[in-house]
Amino acid sequence: MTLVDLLSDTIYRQQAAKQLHQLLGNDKKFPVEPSQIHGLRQIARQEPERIGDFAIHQGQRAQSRYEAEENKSNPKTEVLRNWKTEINFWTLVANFCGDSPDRWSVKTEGRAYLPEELHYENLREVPGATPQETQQNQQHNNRIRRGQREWLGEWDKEHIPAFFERFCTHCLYCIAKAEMGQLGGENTNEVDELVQQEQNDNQAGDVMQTAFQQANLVE
Amino acid sequence: MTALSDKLIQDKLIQDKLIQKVDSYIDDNYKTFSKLGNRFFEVFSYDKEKNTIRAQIRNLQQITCSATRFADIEDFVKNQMGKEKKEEPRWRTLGDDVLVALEELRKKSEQLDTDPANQMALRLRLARGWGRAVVSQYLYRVACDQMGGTS
Repeated sequence: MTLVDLLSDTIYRQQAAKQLHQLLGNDKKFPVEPSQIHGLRQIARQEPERIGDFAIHQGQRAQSRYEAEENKSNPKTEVLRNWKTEINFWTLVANFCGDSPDRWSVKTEGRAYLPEELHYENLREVPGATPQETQQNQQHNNRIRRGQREWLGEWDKEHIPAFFERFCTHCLYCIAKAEMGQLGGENTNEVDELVQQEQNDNQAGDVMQTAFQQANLVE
Repeated sequence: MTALSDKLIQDKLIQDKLIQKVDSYIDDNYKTFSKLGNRFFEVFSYDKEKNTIRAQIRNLQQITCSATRFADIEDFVKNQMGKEKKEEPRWRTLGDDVLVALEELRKKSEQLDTDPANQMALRLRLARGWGRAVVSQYLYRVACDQMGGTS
């Protein structure tokens, strides 16, 4: 059992459902077609590093269709709303591969497991250092930054496919629910439950990380 | 060395106790799991011309036995619901009940242990017991039907 197995079975599964339901709210219609989800899953499995670009491209296509509708003499509110949700969907997908501290992503999850020697706290900035010391500090800092980049790159290679497996499957499930006329409405409770579950997880976060480390699941 | 052996023995005892609890839970809830097996029979039935059971039931059994992640079993159900034709809604009729049952197993594993790795091992064991019970009941119903009886 590895860390990616554990996260895939817990956090990734929860985040996939939570983020998606927060995006959809009470919408009765799913914003993208099943074929697009199959395409996304295929890319996640084969070329995970391309997901960000793929999502941005899909988002731009939706954006231009949104604008085309908006420029019509009599734009339909419903159509505009659908394109808007699709744009938000692809933004969400791109954000999952991003690295902003403001929102959850596969990488921000990875940062919690960074080896201690790669933490930013180890960066050296000594005021009044001699030029030689400054150069040494810069080299030291570059090593940490490069190490962090490489470590997170490896993390993404392994964890992005695992996360998107959960996410795409949940999308297909939501599409089925939409076709059954059961999407929206009842999701509110589910989101509350997921948010509650996440709060519990955060409280237990330290315990969890220690357990992972003790089990040698983190490099 | 002695301290290490003591710890290993203690860990083993804890593990055995947990496994016992899992097995008791499966035994105690056998009827509930069987009800789901009955629902599988009602919804999926079997191929009466070829006298064979539905491949999807075998696939469910297969995934519960071989999964290394519990969420893979949940995903199997969601995928089946996702790819099913609207005209023949089998998984779409039953899928949510199966997901609720799996969620119960997940909660049970969380009650039994606080360690995430142990929880995962426990829920996989729970899933295997659950899968066996559900599929056995389905097969029993098929057999009864083939023999021309009821159950």
